Amino acid sequence: MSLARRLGDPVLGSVPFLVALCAWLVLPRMIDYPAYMLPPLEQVAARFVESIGDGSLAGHVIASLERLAVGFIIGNGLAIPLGIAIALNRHVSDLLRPLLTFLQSIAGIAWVPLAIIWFGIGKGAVVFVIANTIFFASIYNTVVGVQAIPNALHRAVRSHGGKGIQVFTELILPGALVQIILGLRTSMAYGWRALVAGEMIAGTSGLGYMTIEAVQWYKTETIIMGMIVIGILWLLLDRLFFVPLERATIVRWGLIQR
Amino acid sequence: MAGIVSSAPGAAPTPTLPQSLRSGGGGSIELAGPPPPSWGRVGVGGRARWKKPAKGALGIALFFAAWQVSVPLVGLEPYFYPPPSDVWRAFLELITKGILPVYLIDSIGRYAAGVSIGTALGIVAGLAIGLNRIADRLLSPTINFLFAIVEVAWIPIFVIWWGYGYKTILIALSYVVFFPILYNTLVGVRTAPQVYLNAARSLGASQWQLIMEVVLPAALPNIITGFRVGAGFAFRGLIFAEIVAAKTGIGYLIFEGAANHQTARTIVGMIVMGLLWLAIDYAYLKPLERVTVERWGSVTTAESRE
Amino acid sequence: MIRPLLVTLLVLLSYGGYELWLTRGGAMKLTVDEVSVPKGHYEITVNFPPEAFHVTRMQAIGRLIEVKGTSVFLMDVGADDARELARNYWIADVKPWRGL
Repeated sequence: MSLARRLGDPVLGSVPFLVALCAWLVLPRMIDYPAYMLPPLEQVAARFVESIGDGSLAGHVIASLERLAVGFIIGNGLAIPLGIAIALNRHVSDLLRPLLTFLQSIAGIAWVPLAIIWFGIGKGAVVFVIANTIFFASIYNTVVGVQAIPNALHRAVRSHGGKGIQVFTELILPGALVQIILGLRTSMAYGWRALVAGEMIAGTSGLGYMTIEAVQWYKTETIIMGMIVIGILWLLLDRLFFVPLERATIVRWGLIQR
Repeated sequence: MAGIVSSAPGAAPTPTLPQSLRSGGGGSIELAGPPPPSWGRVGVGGRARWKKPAKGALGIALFFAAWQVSVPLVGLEPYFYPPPSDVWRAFLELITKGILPVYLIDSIGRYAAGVSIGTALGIVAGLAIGLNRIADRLLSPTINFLFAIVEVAWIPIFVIWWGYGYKTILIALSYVVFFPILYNTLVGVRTAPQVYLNAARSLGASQWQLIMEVVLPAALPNIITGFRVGAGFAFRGLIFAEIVAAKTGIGYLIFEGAANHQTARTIVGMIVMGLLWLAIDYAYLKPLERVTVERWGSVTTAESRE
Repeated sequence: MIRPLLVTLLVLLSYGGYELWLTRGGAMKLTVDEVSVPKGHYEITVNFPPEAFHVTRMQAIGRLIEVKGTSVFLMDVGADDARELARNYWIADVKPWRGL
């Protein structure tokens, strides 16, 4: 790709942002509308500065990320071993697959009210919902990954005398690893949504809570700030964490061509 | 980024075809080597085809049995841990009192409307942007950024702009569906083979004919993929929007039951929600998936990373 | 592609049939001569103690005077609203009431 073309994209791509920014600056001065619909840019910027200064934004971000991390670890930590165990036995997996599929379709958001009854409003309910979402997304991926290992490979390992733990470490784990790692990313995407949604309904802190609480007070600048932070955080999480993870593992091992 | 392909909200691609060719996250992923056989078919004889569903049904039955039995053992209040018998009773009650049909019809109506609008807009926008190289490069980063702001995060500002109620939910659902379809349509349009376009143009095709007969069919597998993703996101979005911004609907039922300590009703809502999704998947998403595979073979959702 | 179209058709037909069934039921409960006045008073009977769901819908169309057991007494209900309410299958009967 020529240098001009490569440079062109970021330049061209930032044009809409600049246009939007200008429009945002100009609009309040040209048209008369209630401020709570779209607060002027200066107000949002001021809110940013304010919430960084008094640490409230950092507090919410940390609270959110903390819950996401705990939910992610619990969810995947339970799902991957369980998924492998289920997938190894054809009878067990046949028994449980429809049940898992069904539970997976309601995983996450639908459990929030139940979680509130069990844990009350607050961290417990939110973490539960995140872990729930991630668990079901991940277990599905894991089961699929293990079961997709070609029978030919199973037979090959056995014909070479491999048994027991060797089968596990040399066949199952590497064979399913791609799907499991992809599942990590998928489950994180759903977990992130569950985090924001859960905090909105059942949280007492965090980005989701901050954003929806502002609706009551018509503090739209907080809402916009919350949305931007949520967007940036997800981009960072996805691009800085998972893409390198995939590149370092799956792509490096030649299992995927990009 | 999120060219996530899955037919169940949150699931990995269903393994009915080479799942190597569908990614769980990134989009531009193709597995090297021969695709693994679709699981479940290997080693099962034709005469035993009823065995798998029967085992599945048994699994579900065992689940309910275990649940019923565990209630006296756990010994908690019924509003905390209701037995399946309570849930069944609540289900019957909700029907005889006319609550469930109204909620169900409302939910389905919102969902159908939102998905239809979002799909239509997404395809149109995807074609319009994708066919114009400049517009594509101009708008892609913006689209990516907007998509990074997860759909649930838009509900608060939608409520500020349009209040609570049907309009807000409709807009929210359309929005949720719009992005995956837009994204995947763009990918599909970008990867339409230039050869076909040139051939058609040299044969004197008009712009309209180019779109309808070359670009659209070429992009269709991607569009269908986007549709399946959007449908899944929209279903979850529906329930969330109903919890936050509605007075009827299955999501509202789930919330209302818990708020009134009628947990059995909440669970009825959850089960109905799951069954509804299974129905949608069976009736619409699985056939679309099959069509994609059968007519075009593997679907490579190539993503051009900036 | 048959299945999606077939299912959609089935769903729409079932829904249409359901609405027709409701209308028929409504017409039986609240006959034309019973809804003579543009703004009338009605005694509405349900088969169970009404819940918030039902009371809200009734309050939307008229003044709720009393809820006695499984009967609800409404005043100042428009004729169309009364007919619409009678269509709900959970309404056992709608009778004109002389009011207070």
